[in-house]
Amino acid sequence: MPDWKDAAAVRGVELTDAQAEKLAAIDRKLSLMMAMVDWKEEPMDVVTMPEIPGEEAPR
Amino acid sequence: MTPLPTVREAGAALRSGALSSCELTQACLDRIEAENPRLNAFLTVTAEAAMAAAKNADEELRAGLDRGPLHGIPVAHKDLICTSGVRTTFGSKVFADAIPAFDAAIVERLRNDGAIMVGKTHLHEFAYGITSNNPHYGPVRNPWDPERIPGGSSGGAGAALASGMTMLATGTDTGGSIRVPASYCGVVGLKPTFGLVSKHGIFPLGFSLDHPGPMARTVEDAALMLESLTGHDPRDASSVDRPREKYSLEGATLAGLKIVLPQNFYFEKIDPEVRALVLNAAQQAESGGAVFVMGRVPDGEQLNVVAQAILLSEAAAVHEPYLRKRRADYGPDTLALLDTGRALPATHYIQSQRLRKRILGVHLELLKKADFILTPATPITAPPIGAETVDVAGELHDVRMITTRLTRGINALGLPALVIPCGWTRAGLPAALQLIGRPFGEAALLRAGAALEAAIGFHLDRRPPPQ
Repeated sequence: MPDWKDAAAVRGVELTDAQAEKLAAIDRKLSLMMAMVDWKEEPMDVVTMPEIPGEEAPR
Repeated sequence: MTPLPTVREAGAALRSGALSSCELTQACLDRIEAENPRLNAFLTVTAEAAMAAAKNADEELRAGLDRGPLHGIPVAHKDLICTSGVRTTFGSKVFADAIPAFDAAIVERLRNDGAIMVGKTHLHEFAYGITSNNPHYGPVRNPWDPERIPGGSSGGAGAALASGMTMLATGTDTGGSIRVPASYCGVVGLKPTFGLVSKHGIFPLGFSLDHPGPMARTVEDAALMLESLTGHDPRDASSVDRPREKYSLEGATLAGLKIVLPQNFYFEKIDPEVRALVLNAAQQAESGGAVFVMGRVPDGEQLNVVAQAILLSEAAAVHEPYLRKRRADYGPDTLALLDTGRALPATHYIQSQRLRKRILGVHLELLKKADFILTPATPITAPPIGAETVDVAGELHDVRMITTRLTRGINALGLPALVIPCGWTRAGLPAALQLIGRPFGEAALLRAGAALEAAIGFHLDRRPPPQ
C-alpha cells in the first residue's frame, strides 16, 4: 500500500501495512457508494445563519 | 449473595421504612469490596461520600422530601464522565490524575434526583474500543466468565451491574459501547436518540456519534433512569429542546406492534446459538401479538463503513492536541486507530456525512411502515480476553469488527436502540437482542422492550455469577 503510506508520511503519520489496508478498504467502499448515488441535491448540512433581534442600525 | 432489588422494589421498601438507602448503598459497597479485586469493574470507589449521601437521602425521606424514583438508589458513573472532586481518568494515562471541578450534566441530574454515586467504572482507554482490556489499569473481567471480556467501552458498568455492585450505571455509546457490554454481561442498555441526553462534561470520542445513556438490570430500571437523564442542556450544542417525557411501562404489550425482522445483514455472520436465542425471542413476541414483517434493510456493511470513517476522523480531531504532547502515554491499539484517522482525507469524512444522511432517509421510510427493527445485539457472546480473532460459524473474524457489526451503524443513524438479554448459551454466557426504534421514540421502545422482557423472562432469573 505505498500510496496511503506515502500520503500519510507527508502529514507526519507513520502507518503500518494493516492501517494502510484499512484506509484503502474504506476508500474503495466509499468510492463505490458515492458512485451509486444519484446526487440531485446537496444533503450535507450547511451553516444557516440565525436571525439576531437587535436595534436597527443608525441611518 | 442476596440479589439487589429493582428500583421500584427498593423505592417501595425505602418509603415504607423496610429498607434504608444506607443499607442499600452498603450492600453495593460490600459487593464492590468482595468482587472488584477479581473483576476490576471500578477504577474509583467513593465509599465515604456514598454513605454520607445515603444518610442524607434517608433523612430527607424521613423529613418528607422525596426526590422521585431514584431517591436513595446507588448508581455508578463511567469514568469517561466528569465528577466534581472525584478523579476522572477517561481510562487513560494522559488524565491519570485529573480531578474535575464540575459534574457532567447527567451526574448533576442523577444527583439532583437523589441517586447515590458509589464510584467510577472502568472502561476501554478513552472509550475507543470494545474489549475494556485497558493497558494502563488492566482488563475488566466478565462476571459470567472472568477469562472473557465484558465488552466495552462501558465494560466496567456492565460487569458492575451483572455482579450486583450497583443498581444503575451510566454509559456512553459511540459504536456500541452501551449495547455491547449489555449484551456480553446480560444486562439492559439503552442508546437513546442522538441529542436526547446531554453530553456536557463527557470526554468526546466522536462528536456526532456519542450517545450517553442508561444501563440497568431491567427495562423498567433503565426507563426510570432515562427520565432523570433527559432534558435540554444549552451547554451541549447537539442537545435537543423538547419536553421531557415520563416513560410509563404500565400495561405495556406486544399486541399489534409491527416489527421488522431483517432478512439481510443482521442475521448473517452470526453464532448459531445467538441466532437461535434471538429468533426464539422473536417467536415469543409473535405469540404475544406482535406482527413480524420480513423485510430487507439498507446494507449494514455500507452503513458501517460510513460510521467507521466518521469515527476515525472525529476521534483523531478530538485527540490531536493531546497526541502532540502526550503521544507516549497512549496505549498501542488506541494510538493505531488515532493515527489511521489522522491519515484519512477530509473528503472521505465529508462524503461519509453525505451518505449517512441518505442512508438515514431510507431507514426513516422503513420505520414509517413498522414500529421497530429487531436484530441480535452482537453476533457472538463474550470472547476471551486477549483474543484478536474469533470463529463465527466456521469463519475467522476480527473480534473488534465482529463485535460492533450490528451496533456501529446505528450510531451514525442516531436512532434509539435498546438491548435486552434473551437467554443463555450452553457455555453459560448471556446473549441479547437489539430493538431499534424511531427518532425520539424511547417511550414506545421501552414499552415494547418491557413487554418483550416479560415474555422472555430473563430478568426473573437472578442467578448470581459464579464466584
